[in-house]
Amino acid sequence: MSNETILEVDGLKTHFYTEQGVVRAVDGVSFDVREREIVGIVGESGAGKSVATTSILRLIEEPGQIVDGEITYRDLTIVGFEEQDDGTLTPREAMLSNREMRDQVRGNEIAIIFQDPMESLNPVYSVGHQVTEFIELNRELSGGDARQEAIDMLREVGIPEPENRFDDYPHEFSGGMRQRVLIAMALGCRPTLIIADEPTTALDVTVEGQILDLVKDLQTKYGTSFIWVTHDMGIVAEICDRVNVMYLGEIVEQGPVDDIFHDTKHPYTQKLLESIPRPDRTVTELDPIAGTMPSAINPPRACRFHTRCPDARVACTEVEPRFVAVGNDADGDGDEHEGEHNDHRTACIKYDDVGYWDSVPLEKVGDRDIQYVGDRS
Amino acid sequence: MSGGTADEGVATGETLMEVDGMSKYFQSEGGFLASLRGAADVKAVDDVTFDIKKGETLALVGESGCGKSTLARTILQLHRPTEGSIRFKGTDLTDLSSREIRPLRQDMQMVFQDPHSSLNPRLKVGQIIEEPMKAHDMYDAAGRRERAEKLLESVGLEAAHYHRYPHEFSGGQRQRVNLARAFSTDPEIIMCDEPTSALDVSVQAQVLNVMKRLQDEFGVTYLFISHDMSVVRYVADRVAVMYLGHVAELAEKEALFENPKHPYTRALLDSIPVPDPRSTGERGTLAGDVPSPTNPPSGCRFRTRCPKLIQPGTYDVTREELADDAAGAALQSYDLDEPTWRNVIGFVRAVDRRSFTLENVEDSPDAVRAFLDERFFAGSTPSGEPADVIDDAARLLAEERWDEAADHLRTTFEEPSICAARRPAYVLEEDVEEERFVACHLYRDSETDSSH
Repeated sequence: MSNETILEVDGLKTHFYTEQGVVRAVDGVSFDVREREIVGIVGESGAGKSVATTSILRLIEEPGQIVDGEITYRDLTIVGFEEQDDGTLTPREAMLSNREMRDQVRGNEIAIIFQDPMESLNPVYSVGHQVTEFIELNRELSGGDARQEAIDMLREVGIPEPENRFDDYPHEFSGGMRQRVLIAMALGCRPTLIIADEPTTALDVTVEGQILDLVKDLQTKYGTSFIWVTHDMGIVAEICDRVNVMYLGEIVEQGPVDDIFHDTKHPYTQKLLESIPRPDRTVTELDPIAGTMPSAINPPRACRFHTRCPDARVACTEVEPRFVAVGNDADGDGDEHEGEHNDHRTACIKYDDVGYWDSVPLEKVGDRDIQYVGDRS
Repeated sequence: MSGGTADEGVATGETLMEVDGMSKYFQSEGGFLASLRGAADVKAVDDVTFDIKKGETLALVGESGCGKSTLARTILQLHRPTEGSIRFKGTDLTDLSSREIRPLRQDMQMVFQDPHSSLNPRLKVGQIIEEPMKAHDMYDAAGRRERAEKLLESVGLEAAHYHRYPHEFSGGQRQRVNLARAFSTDPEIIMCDEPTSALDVSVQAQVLNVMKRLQDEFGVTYLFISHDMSVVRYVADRVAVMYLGHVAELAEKEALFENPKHPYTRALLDSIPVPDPRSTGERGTLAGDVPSPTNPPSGCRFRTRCPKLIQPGTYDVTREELADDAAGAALQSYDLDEPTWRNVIGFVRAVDRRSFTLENVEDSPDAVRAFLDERFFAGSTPSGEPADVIDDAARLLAEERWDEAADHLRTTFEEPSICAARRPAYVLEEDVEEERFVACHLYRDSETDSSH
C-alpha cells in the first residue's frame, strides 16, 4: 500500500493518577493510519484501546493525562513534548492549543463515533436539529443549506424519509438507526479520519451487519480512513486492512489483517484467536487464556503477558520486548518479493535475539487463574 | 454423564420439561386508562410448543426483543404464562400455586448475565453459595459448608475462597461463584441467561468450559439463552431460534448450523462476521427492522423481511384465513416466474421502508414508472394484472402518497400469501432419526407429521 500516512502515533503514554496509584492505561503505543484504510485496534477490556483513541482527540479527562509521546496528524502536532534541562517533559511550542484542536481537528478532520449513541445524542433536541447544528459548527454552511446537507446525510446513511424523521427525537429511533445518525453527523463534516469506538457492540447481529455494510460503502465513496476499536475478531477480519492487538496498555502485535490471522506471531494473539467460539465450525474444546488481565497499576515486569503466556520463559520476566519485524514473507516462499510488506511487527522476544531460547521455561503455576493482586475491578 | 441425586425416574435423554402451547402476553401500558384506549398486549411469547430433555443443553437464540428471556422465565414460572402448560417431570407447573412451586425451585436454578450485580456484596462467597441450600432446608450447617467448599473447587476456585467477598473477584470468577450457587441445591435444570455476554472472550472461554465440565459431572440440564450464535455452537446440543415471540426453528445443533432450514435462521447465521479474513462467501445482510410485538405480522412473523416469501396462489388459502383488507384482493395466482417475483417483492419492501427517493424524478406517473422499471425490474418486468398494480403504485408515488402505495402493494402481493394467511409449523423427519421443527411454509410438502 502506497497511500500516504495521515496519522502517526509514536510512543504514546496516557496515565491516570488515581488514589490507588498510577494506572498506566496506555504505555508506549505506536501505530499509524494511512489514507483510505481501516485500522483496527483490538483487545480485551482494560487493554487501553479507548484511552489510546481518545488521546488522539485529546479528550482525556482528569485524572488522566497524556504524559509522553508524539501524535501527528498530517503536519499538525496534536501531542508533542520536549525534554527540559532538568529532565522533565513539557509540551512543545508546535502543539495545538485546545482551541485549535476544537477548530481545526475535532469533527472536521477527525470525528469519533462511540458505542452508545444515546450518550452522544441529546435527548431533548430533535435528531435533525443536532445533525444540522453539528454541520454548522464544523462546516461553512448555515440555515437552509445546513439543513439540506443534514437531510442528505441522513438519507445517505439509510434513514428512510429523512424529511419526515428530521424532527423526531433520539428515543424515537431504534439503536441501529441512532448509530446511523451518528455516522451521518460524523460524515457530514467530511472528516479525513473517523474513530469508531465499538460502534456496533450494543447492536444485534443483523443490525450490526447493516451498519458494517454501510460503513464499507461510505468508505469506498468518500475515501475516509477509520480507526476501528473492537473486541470482536469477526469484525476485525471483515473490515480491517491493518490491525493493532493491544494487551495491558501496549501493542503486542501489528500488521496486515491476513498476517494477524494466518501468520500469527505473538502468543497473546494466538491465544486470543484460540479462545473465541466459531460461528462457522464446531469446536469441541476451547483453549482459554489462563488467569485474568493483571492491573495496569503494577503491570508485570518486562513482557506484560508473561504471567499468562504458555510460552513464557525466565527471560520474558527480565527483558523488555521491543518491536521486531516479522512479516517479510507474505507468500511464505522464504523470499521477500516486491510488493510484500514488512508491516508485520510483534513485541515478543521469541523473535528477537536476546536469549529467549537459552532461557528456562517459567514453571507451570498450575491454574494461574487464581490471582487477586489488583484484580478488584 | 453421572446422574444427579434426585432423578425420580427421568433418565438422561428423556423428556424433563414439556412446554405446550405456551404464551406470555404483557400489557403494553399498565392501568385502566390504557385498557379503555384498547392498548394492545405485547405478545412476548406466542403459542410455543417444545420439550427439554434431561442432561441436554437447549439454547434459545434470537435478537433482542425476540422473547427468549421471557420464554425461559415463563418456563421456570418466574412469570406465569398467559396460556398453555409446562410439565416438569410430569407435573403441570401452571396448576400449582406459588407456595406449591417453591419447593420445586430446588430443582430449577438460574444464572444471570451481570456478574457484578447478581452477588450480594455484603455476604461472603461461602454464604452466597449456601443461601439456596438454607432456603430449601438442605443439610446441616457443617454439611452446607462442606458442599460449598467442594463446589468452589468444582468451578475452578479454591475452598479457601469461602471467606472472601464478591468484590475480591473478577467478572469471570464471580460468574463461577454464581455457578457454584446454582449447583448448590443439585438442581435438575439451570436457566443461564446470557451468562458470558458481559465477559471478555478469554474469560468467556474459561466459564464456558467450567459449565461443560459441571454438566458432565452432575448431569444437569441447561436452558441456555444467548444472542451469540458462536457461543451457542460451542455449548448447545439443540437450538431453538426465536423471532418475535415464535420459535422459527428447533433442531440439533449440527443440523441447524450446517443446514439451516428457516430463512430467518439462515439470515442470522449469514450475518455473523467470521473471524477469518480469508473466509469465503459474502456475509449476508438482513434488511429492515423487527416489527413491533404489539402488532406483529399475521401468519409467519418473519414474512415482512423474508427473502423467500411465497407467491400468492402457490398454496391454496381460504378467504377466512386472509386479513380483511387482503380478502378483497385476490385468491388467485399470478404465476410470476421466480426472478420477477423477487423483483416485485423487493419493490414492495422498498416502498414500505422508503429506502429510495423520487427526488430527482419528474412527478408524472410515466416518469415514475420508468424510474421504477429501471431501478427494480431490470431484466424482468411483470405483465398483466401485477403490472396494473405497479402502475397504480407508480401513480400514488408520483403524488407522494407513499403509505397508500405501500398498502396497495402489500395487500396485493404479500397479504394473500400463505405466509401471511397461516402460521407455519412443520415437523420434519431428518435422516438422523431426529425430529426437527421448522415454522416455514417452504417445508409444507416435506412435512411428515402434523402433530404440531
